[in-house]
Amino acid sequence: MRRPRRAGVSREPGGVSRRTFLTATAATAGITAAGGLAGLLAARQAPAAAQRTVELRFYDWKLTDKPPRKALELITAEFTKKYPTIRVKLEEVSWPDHQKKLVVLAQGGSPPDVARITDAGVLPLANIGAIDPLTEWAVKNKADEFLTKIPPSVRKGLQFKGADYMACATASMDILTWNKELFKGAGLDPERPPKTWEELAEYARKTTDPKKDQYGWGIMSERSNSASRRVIAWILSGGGELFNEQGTELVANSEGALRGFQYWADLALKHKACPPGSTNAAFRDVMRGYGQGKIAMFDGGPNNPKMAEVDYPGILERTDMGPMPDPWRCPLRSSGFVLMNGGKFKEEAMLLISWMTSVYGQVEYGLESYEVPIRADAATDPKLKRERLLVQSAAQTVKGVANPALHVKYAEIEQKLFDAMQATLAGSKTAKQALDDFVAEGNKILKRT
Amino acid sequence: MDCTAVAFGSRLQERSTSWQVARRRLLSRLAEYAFIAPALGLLAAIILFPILTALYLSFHNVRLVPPAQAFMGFATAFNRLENYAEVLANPDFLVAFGNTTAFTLVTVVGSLALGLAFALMLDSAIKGRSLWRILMLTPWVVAPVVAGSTWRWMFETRYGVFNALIRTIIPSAPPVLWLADPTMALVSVSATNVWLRTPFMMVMLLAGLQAIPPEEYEAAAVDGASAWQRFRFITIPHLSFVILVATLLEGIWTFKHFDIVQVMTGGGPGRATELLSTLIYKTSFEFFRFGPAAAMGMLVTAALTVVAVCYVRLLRSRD
Repeated sequence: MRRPRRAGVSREPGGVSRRTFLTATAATAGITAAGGLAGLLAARQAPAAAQRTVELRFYDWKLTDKPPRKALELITAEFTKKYPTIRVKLEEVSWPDHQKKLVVLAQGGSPPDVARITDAGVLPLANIGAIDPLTEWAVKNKADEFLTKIPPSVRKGLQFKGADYMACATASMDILTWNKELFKGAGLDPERPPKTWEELAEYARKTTDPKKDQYGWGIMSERSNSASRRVIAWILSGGGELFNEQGTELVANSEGALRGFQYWADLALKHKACPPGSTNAAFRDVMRGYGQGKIAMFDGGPNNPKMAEVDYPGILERTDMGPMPDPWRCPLRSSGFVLMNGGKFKEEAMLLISWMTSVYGQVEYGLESYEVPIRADAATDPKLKRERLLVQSAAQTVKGVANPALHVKYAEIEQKLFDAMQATLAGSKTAKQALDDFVAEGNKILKRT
Repeated sequence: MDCTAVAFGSRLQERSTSWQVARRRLLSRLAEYAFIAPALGLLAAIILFPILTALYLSFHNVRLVPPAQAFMGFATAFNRLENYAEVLANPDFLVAFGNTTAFTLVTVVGSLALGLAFALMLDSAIKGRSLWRILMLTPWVVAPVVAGSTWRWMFETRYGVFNALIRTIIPSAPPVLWLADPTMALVSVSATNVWLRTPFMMVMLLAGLQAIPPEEYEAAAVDGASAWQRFRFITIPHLSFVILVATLLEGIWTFKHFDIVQVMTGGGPGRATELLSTLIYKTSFEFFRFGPAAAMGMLVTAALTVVAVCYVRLLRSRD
């Protein structure tokens, strides 16, 4: 016999009754609440577990490339062997986004413990309190070698309000990189690179053959740190400066600065030695062209052909490196490790920073990544001597001058420099107009409180 | 029992019944609110809170500090309308506004024209209609970031498929600087967005087309109207409301567009493809200037609110 239907319990034929619906909803809510409670309890117990084994979060854009990743995996594994209670979790991030993501992580309250940044990021990050000073720990533990071994001019440029915020690990200075085969093909001596700016332009023209889709010079002009730093090198080499001595005003429209900037643009505009579409050419575009044997020369570091070797085997063998043509005054760029404010394990993080910047850490990293160690005792280590390009680059790097592009507002100023670079290459402004506008707009930014 | 007592008893019963009904209604209403409360709370958290925060920041000088020192890590100082004044005097903002307007116009007009053409095609007795429909809807399911990356490669000066095609037809032709030339760059990113947005227009217009009574076309054909006259005097008048609604919606979406341009050009070369959305992103997440970025966001919101009000009024007038 069918049970009589109760009043108030509505049900569509084949549907779900209100009671069933409410019961199911209540049960779901109950299960969710129980799960959440269990999660909370587990989280409360977590610190006790963390005391047994610590997992440090290490944030680095270098992890996206195979050679440096291999080195970092090796170095951190050795670190864990020495400190068995500390494990290192490698967190990779893309190069263009590394700094903004770091800021978002810091502001969101979940920063990594240790992060790699470039020298350009130190002052802006220190200014917003996203990174902690390293000096106190170094002095307290009598382990300040990772700071004292940094060349003094570089170290000074990286200090914020008198304190050190970055433990430098690598240094780089762009030097001339050329493809020996393309030199031979153009009737040039691969053992005799250009010595002057005039020669460089001549070599670039001679190695250019648009019919073969081959170009003499790889220019970088997209909105990235790689491109702006190279242009600054040309501005300095022409006899100009970026800032005045006090660092309070942009002065990059002087005659000398214009000479360097004009020369950089002329390689594309006048000598037609750069690939078409160079108005916003990226670092990767140049690497691809160089790797394929379609670009004869560019200004880069030894890690660049090493990176190209991954996709274009044999390019390293066809590469040679040497000093840029005179006059050349290039900023010395560096990258290193910072201690994040809000990181969970400060003591352990400092141990890792100390380890990564030791002679062992810098040499092992240099061997795989082809990046020049910043410490002189690491850069001259016998292990590195077997690497030809690394030695050639290291020899130039020690002559470098400290990077002038370090300023709290550098990111904004850099955007104006990109505008100047791209407007000049696109032909919408002359080099002089572009530099004048850059200085005028940049100085407005500097004057703003 | 006299009549008075009966009437009183009846009134009492009525009052009791009406009270019970009112109570039941109240409980039912409360239950309704209780059911939608979590959704309302969530909406307030993810829509209202960010808007109010942005509004607050737009009137303040904002400095990032560690999150433990200030709410959300924003140390603020009231600066009246300074951020708005700075934004309106900023030439980059005006350039971005111009670019955004051009980008929106090209996208809306382009996707409308193509969408209408495809909708007419699918509404006719074309062979393999289902296959065509799937093909034409494909761009809609592609994530904008993926579409941007793919089109960026297709537009690449030396290795891109477009220049390769041109070289195949005219071997001596110089490469077209699709993304490297300032004017071409804006055209290229707009074309990509037209490709991405056409399916939406097509779906809207196809629905409109299918709602037109076929008798009207039959009557017009009997009267000797040409295909163009049928399109001009039957199709377009019937579709006018759908076109207006779709145009407004598309205009709103495109005006705040971000992904395609960010992936394809990052706003370059120079400022040639800088949109308001990419400028706001740079100002906030690259320069950490949240005050002016919030002011820009508020100005965009105000402009779009005007369009949204027009849209709502339009819908109401139709009702």
